[in-house]
Amino acid sequence: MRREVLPSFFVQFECDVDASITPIARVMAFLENYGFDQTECGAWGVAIQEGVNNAILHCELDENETPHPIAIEVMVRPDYVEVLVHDHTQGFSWPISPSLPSESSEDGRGVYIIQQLVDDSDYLRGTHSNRLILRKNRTLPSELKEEEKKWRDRLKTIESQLDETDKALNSTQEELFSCYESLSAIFQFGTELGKQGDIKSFADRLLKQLIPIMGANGYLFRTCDENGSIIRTYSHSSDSLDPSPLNWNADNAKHFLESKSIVIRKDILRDTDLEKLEEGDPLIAFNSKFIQVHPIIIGEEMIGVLSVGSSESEEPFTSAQTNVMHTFAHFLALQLINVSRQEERIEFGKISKELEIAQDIQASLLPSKWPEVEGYTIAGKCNTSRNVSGDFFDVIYHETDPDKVLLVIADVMGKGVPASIFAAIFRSLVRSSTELFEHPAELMSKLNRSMFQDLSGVDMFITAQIAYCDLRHRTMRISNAGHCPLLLTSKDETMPVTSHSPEGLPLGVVKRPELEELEIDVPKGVRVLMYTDGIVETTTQMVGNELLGQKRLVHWFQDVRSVDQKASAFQSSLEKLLRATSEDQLKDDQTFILLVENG
Amino acid sequence: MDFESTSERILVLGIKELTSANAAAVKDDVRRCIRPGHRALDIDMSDVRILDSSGLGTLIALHKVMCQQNGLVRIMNPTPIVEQVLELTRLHRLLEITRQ
Repeated sequence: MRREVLPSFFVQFECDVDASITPIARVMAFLENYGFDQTECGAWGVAIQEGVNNAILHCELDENETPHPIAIEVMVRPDYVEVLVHDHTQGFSWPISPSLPSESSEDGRGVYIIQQLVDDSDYLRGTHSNRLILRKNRTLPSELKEEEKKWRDRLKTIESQLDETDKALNSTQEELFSCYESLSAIFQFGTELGKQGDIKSFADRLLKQLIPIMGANGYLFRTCDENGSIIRTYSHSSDSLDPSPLNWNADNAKHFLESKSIVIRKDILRDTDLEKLEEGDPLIAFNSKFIQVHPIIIGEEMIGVLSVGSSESEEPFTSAQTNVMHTFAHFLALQLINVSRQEERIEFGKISKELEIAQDIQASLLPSKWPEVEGYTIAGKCNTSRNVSGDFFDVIYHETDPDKVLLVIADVMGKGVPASIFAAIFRSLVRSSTELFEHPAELMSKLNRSMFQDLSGVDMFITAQIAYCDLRHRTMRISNAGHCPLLLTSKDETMPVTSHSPEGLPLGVVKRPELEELEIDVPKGVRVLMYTDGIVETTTQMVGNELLGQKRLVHWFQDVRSVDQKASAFQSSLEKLLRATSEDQLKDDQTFILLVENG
Repeated sequence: MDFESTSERILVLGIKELTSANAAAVKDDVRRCIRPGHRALDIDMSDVRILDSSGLGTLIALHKVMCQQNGLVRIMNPTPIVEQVLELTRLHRLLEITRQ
């Protein structure tokens, strides 16, 4: 509180009756200025005059033979006026109840008059000076009292405003100090985190720092699980504060503070004396008068909730303390996210490495060498849109008869790892069924039987085409399970490109599919192309960013058929066509096999 | 300070204060103006702001002078503070207060 500034007056003058006239007149004028009427001013004038008379009467000379000066001090208080008359005399005993002299006496009335004119008086004698104290209660006129009351009320209002400003300044100062404290703690712990990297013990230490700053008796920090509907304890100040996981759905939000704070996405401050926690609320374990709950949100993501309890303070947490709590919580949440992302990066790195290995394994399953078949060349390629592919092709030679070749191409629905696993199984099953190579439809039927349960169990299927080529007898038997047709032509320009696609549903669609087997003659100078849908469904700049399509593929095949080249040259030409794709990233795997007769 | 005098009455005017500062002077000045035939000494105290015990002493001394020649002292139109001091010291019974 501020001290009230009250009017006062001081005057000093020579110890002489003539010298006292003006100072006393000034005292009276001073009082008159503060609303005292003429009678009151006169009474004070008389009383002071009597005091001054005594001082002059008993005055002593100093070492210079000069009388000591006299001083008058006036203080106007709300309820009374006090006047002090300082003298430097030997002083005298102040009579408690002076009596009047006889009427005929010409003196001896001074002290009596003083005591009659004021309400209280005293005379304090000192070693070198004395002090006459006169006090008189104030009796202001009613209109002046009203005026005074009005001004006094106004003064109180101003004082109150000043006090509020003082408090605001103090609060700002405290807030700045708290910000400094929290930043300091954060930098300190941030440095430690960098050294140790243990986020859990970092969180424990950081939040324990929060307790003294908040004047709290405990904290509970709970984080949301991956699907975001349950909070679990991550860090707590004591074992008594380790509640079970809590679902923060709307129903729980009606009863429990943590759930409510998360659902409404706002802080909650609860005075448990005024509103008790509901039975079962985990925060009852705080046993605190004040509980502050803060939901931690980064961007739009709910990270968790930090609760702090205080049982010792009679006042709720200050705004500065709440700010520190928010700062700590936000900082901790960012660290948690950073650690989580770091773990994700490590995990992603591991998966990438595993995918690279899987890609290598898958590549090793594809034919890498093309054994010489007299009079023929074979080529094939599998371009994958991801690390691993669902496309597959194989070229299998008869163990004893090099003129018999099995061409296999397949496309597992979907892409990536699941598709590649089925492609590997498909390859193994084909390779282990050599007895059925000459009967592609039976082989395809066996493949369906073997894989049907696994494929239908995961709602996947495989399109495939198998061509058994007896090059000595110039025949080819084809089976197709919902795959792209086989394109066949000859070096002879008079022979058109024909497409062959015997009836058959993809593998894994029905348990016992009817699979047609088509036998065709192999013309002289034959050119065969087997491919997956990724070839015809690619967009190419050469045709104005439209799908390549089977029709254009047939045209290409027709254009290049007469070239007297090996299969590898056809491969280069086809790849040149496919490289003109408008997108860097393939949308689908692209696989093909080429069989070309020399000459 | 002014005096208006008749054969039986003398009127003192213009006193602003009657204290230790001027009490002796007033007493001497007024006493010199009193004649044996005067029966009344009227002192106009309508402008007196302060009357202290020394001033009272002057009034009592003048009262004694007037009593010796069977006269009296009258305080004319005293200000409130003068009247208050006279009453406090009970001298209002000795000095007649009159208003005009």
